[in-house]
Amino acid sequence: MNSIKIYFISLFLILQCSIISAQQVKKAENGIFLLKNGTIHTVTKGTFVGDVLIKDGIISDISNSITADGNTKIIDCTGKHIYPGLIDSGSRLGLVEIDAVSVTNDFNEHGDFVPHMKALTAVNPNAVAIPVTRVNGVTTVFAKPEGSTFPGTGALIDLFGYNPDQMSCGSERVLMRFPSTGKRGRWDRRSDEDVKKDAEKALKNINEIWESALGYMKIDSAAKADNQKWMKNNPQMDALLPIVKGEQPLFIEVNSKSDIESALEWVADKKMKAVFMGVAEGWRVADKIAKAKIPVIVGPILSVPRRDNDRFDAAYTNPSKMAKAGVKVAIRTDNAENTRNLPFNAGFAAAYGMGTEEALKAVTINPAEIFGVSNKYGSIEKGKVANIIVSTGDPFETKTVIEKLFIRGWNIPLESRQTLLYDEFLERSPGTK
Amino acid sequence: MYKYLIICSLFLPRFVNTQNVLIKNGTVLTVTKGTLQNTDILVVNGKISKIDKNILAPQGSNVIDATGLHIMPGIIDAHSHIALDVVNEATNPVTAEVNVGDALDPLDVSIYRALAGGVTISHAMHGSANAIGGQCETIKHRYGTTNPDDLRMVGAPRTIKFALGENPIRTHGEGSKIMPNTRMGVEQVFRNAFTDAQLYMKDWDDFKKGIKKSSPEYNLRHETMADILKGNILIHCHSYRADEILMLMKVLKDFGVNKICFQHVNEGFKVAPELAAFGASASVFADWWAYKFEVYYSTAYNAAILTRNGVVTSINSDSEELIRHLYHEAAKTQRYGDLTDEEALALITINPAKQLGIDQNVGSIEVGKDADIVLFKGHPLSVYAIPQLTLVDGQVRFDINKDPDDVRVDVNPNEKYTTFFETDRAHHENNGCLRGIAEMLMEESYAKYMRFKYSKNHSH
Amino acid sequence: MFKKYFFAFLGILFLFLSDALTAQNSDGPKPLSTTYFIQNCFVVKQPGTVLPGQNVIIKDGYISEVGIGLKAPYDAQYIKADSMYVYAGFIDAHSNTGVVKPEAKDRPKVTDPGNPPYDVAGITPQFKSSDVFKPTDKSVGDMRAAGFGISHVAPRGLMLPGQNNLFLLNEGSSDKLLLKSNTSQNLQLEMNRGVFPSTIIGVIAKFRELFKNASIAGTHEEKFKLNSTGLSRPDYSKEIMALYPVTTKKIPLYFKAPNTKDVHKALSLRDELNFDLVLSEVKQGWHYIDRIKKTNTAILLSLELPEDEKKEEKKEVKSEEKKDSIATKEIKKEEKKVVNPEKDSFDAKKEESVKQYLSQAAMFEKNGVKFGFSFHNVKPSDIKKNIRKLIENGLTENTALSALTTYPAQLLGISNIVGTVEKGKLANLVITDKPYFEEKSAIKYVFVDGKKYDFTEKPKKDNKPSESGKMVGIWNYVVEIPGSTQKGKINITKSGGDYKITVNDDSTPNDEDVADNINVEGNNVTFFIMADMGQPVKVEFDLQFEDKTYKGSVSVGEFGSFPIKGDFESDPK
Repeated sequence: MNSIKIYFISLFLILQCSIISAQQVKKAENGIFLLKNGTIHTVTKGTFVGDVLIKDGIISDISNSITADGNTKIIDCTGKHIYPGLIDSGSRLGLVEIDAVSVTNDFNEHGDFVPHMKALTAVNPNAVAIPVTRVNGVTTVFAKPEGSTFPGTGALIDLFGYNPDQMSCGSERVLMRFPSTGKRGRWDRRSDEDVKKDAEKALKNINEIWESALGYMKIDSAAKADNQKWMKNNPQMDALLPIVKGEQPLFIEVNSKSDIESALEWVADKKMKAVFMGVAEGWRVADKIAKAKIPVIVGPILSVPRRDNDRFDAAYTNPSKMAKAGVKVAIRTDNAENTRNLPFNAGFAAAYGMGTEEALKAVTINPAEIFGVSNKYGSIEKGKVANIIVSTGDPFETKTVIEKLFIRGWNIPLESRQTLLYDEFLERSPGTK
Repeated sequence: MYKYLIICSLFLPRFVNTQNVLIKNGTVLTVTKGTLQNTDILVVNGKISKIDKNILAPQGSNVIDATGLHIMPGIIDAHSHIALDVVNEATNPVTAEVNVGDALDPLDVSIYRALAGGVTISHAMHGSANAIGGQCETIKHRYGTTNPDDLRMVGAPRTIKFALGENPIRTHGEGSKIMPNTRMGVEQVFRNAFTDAQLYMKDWDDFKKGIKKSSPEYNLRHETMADILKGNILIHCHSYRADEILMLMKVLKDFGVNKICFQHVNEGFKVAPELAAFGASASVFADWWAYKFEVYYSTAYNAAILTRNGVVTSINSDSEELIRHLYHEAAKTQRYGDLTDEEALALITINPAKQLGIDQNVGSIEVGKDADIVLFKGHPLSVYAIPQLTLVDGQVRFDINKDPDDVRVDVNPNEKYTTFFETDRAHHENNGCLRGIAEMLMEESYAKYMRFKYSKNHSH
Repeated sequence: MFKKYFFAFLGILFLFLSDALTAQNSDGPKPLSTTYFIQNCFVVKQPGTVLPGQNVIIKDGYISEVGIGLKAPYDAQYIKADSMYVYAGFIDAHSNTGVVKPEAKDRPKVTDPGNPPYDVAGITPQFKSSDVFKPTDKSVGDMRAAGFGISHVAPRGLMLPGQNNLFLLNEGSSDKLLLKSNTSQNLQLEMNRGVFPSTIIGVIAKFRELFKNASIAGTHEEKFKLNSTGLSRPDYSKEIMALYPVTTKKIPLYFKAPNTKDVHKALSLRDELNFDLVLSEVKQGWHYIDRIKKTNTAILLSLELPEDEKKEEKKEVKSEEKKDSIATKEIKKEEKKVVNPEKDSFDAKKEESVKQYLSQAAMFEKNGVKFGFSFHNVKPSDIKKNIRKLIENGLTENTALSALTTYPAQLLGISNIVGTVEKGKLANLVITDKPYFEEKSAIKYVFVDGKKYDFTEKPKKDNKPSESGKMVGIWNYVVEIPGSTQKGKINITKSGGDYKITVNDDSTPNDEDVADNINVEGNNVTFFIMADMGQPVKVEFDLQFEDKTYKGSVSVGEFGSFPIKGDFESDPK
């Protein structure tokens, strides 16, 4: 074991060095930018040709025509399209460098009840995959821990910055995985009864946790009311406080039809706010989810149906079916290094029934609302954070190229290790000789 | 190699549609002969017999109206593991004697899902646990049959799976504590297996010539390796790093073997000139990377760089998920490397056909070729493209408008309605190149680690 | 109970098992003579030929006379068989009857998993089922009670488990019961994990190689015998040589092929290598009826049928009622009314599939393909029930009977001595009170090799449920294991409609095992517990209650089964 450890540690060190040496991305540029004469897809206020002024990190003006002063860098967007930056509502980006190298994985802490694990602590601002992701117009992701019942607290981050504060969008959300009555895979040899027993046990467990959190909240507020200084060391319960107080929704991973139904009952029973994630079989119970007014984060859209008897496009049409039933839908990749495929996940949802407009909302304004940051994110509106992309066309269309990308008003060069390798090797020198 | 073709032409197998099919008035993307507007395709006995405007329908034809639709040749996946009950015989670094063709599963619903993505042929491969894995099978997606033989593409050359790098090293070096434990070891495994085969051939030659009177022992492993040396089997090699790719080309050169397609080959772009000079081809992912260390230095521009350097390149799936949208994967080369429509489409049609040695029969829309045809709403390289109709040998195997939701051919009489898998099947270890290994190593100390890792991601 | 402590006994047990139990059988008086006169019965001479008013005389193990108005020999014992039916004893054409499952071993540790020794690889064709056949095993008695006089016994194992042998299902020592040895070989798509071959593709590749080498070796050895000049001395392993008769078609190869893909593999491999194939354990072979017919391939259908739907549903309802979920009952009731077309179509498809499995035998019959049955995974007591299901789905009784008698007799090359009720044949007979295939028929006598087994005094299994609470109480138990006696208590309680059973062994009185899968039918109670013997082992109880006593059997995992008995002690606390 020891030698393996040493191996991985040295590997990690090598990685660190190489990350630094390979990270030759051009610096981002700050300033006042005027995007001139582009087709502006505001998402919330229609689409029109006009100008967008970026100043002090925010969208300071949008209009049919804005006059620039001397300090303003004018970017001609004639024939180009201007969109808000795309938001991936569930990803491990920044929390993992190389999947199979465990020392580079920071999304799964030991323990089944660790809601106090904060993704923001472990996000690596220099992950090689971050610039790779940006190239496709993704400016913001919800980086989330996973792997246990309460794996931790995810964080909505902008994909630019050199420390967690520079990246954080100010929205951290507690995650829970709802006890599953499904098998974990073909290799799962548990009998149906065992699966059920395990799920019941897990449900009992989360009920106990909930009761305990309620108790904790009572003591906490009693102490506050009494102006007592309450000495404690219970970070798990502290993490759950905003949930039991009803200040924040709990983000619940749940997928099968019957589990979704159970989760709906559970949420109703606890009178809590919730967001469902995954929701692979949401289409089977879309009406019920809509009735409960629970928003969903669905994805990956590019995935196979869960049951052999499902129609081939069950996953493609899932977001559209839920949206049509009246559910607020956001889309996620649930990936790390290929979070860059977010626009294509949205594109498939759009093609299979959702339509481009609705799919665009699912990666912009809907996540902004679900994460409670719609005052700052999710559309091109005056005063919002200047997360903006300029593209040659529809950002979901495969051959479209993203030409400009702004995060918090910074003009980020669209360069990544992958583009650098292209530049170096397209015509390798020397060749074979 | 093509001995079965003669038999085939005499007795048309039952899966060939003997009814004539006329596809009317579509935009035909032939791949090899440009794009033809408002064109008809006539299919007779499962083959394309005429491509022209305004073809009159012969009596009794099935006429398909393709007005407003794009027509392209059936997509070919040069690397998949669908329709297989077994992927890895992971117990030995060399298992050339096994053949996944013995474990074909025509009942796998993934075949239908591939058809729904326009894929008509796939290369059902052995896994990558062994340096020399098993023989593979080129299959036609004739979903609906229960007979494994109906899947086989008659006349397709034999192929075999090789593998370099982490997978054989991890399986045997780390797992079983035997060679190979390094990339140096992997090289010697190849040299040893080829040399053994040479000696074996000599033994049998001596016996046949009467120099030796007693018969040598029969060894199916050496027989298979000998067939590679004789040029009767095409090698498809799982590989990632530039150094190991160069190594295998050197080994092959030393043993006089020149037919090789490198699979995955994430660092192929680094040695594109060498690949081109050797005449090796490459079958790559559009954008998969970073799931393990040996694919950390990848670029989604790989296919474009290889293509521009003259390497015959294809894009494959290695996944029952990706196989459903290879047309989209091919389109990514337009974002990453600016390939033309024709170049991008070639990556999933004629190029993989060349790599599998079946380009005489499939891979483009040309008179005389098999009528493996897909009709798309929208251009297939658009993210909004939706396959409407997929024909294999002129027979409609997928029809988006007419097919029922539940298309299972075989229903387990003991299966319960509630069967549901928590994990997306495309993203767990049983599915890709390492399928079967996690199970084998269940008791090993690091199986847990692998299980977790590979439940998160692909496993190639 | 049955904790690790018990484990120690098992070792001892295997040393003494056969001797000890054989000795036990010698209680009671000896039979007066070996001549029997079966009076006034219907003789089902062969499928389709039923003769009324017949007498059958059995002498010295043979059928000495069949006919009307025969005179009973002086020493005959009479069997009054008015309106009874006499059939030829059934023949089990392939099973593991009498072969105890070997102890579950840890995964073999080998240094080079790619080249394991033959036995680890599951290649043991030289192994004989006669070396492991135990006439005292419960399965032998159970098969006999189900009407079987002969079993074609396969050893248990992996890819090439060994030679099959034909046994008479009598009591006695196994060498005396051996009717025919080395009748055939087996090939199974079964393997050890972690060593080559570890997959079906490995098994098939390995078999190809072994087959060719067996052929080379056999030929070489024959050549060497004729003229050894210049030839190397034959030095082939016993494994290779054991396969030589298969390559020359001297003996057939039984290929266990339950599902459609297995059947395809068997047929393809046969066509490729050219051997004499018998398809066995076939559950889903209908896709290949034509090919089987054209190639005249022998086939044995499995009697393991898909689970009974109706029973299932009942169970489900039960467990749902029990389920203590967060859902309120009202919601559940609502849900039950909800129409679910998807589930309906799923179920319809499944029903169609079940129907196909049940109609397989009828399909083969309609297509003129003859077949027998194999019995690897079917409980002997279910055999008739399952055959009746096949008959309900179109199989004729005559063909069903031929699959139990004449077909296997022919396949096994013993139709000269068994398979029909005819003068001169071996006295293997089944006597039933009504035609065998009728639902309520019961086997009254079974003759094996002239030896009579009487089932007329069998404790009545009234189908009425026993009076409530009859089995309730604390019962002691004694399990007889040669060399040891195991004692303890069984506590049976009942609340609502459900029984609860716990088992305490005297050796570990504080450890209580809770029974699972409790099934009460009349006076018969079956259940199992999972005992901890280092690893969990399933211990199955089958108890027959009568007033204040009970007896029955306990089968312990793969170790075999043992008699158990006990008395009522007190009411439950």
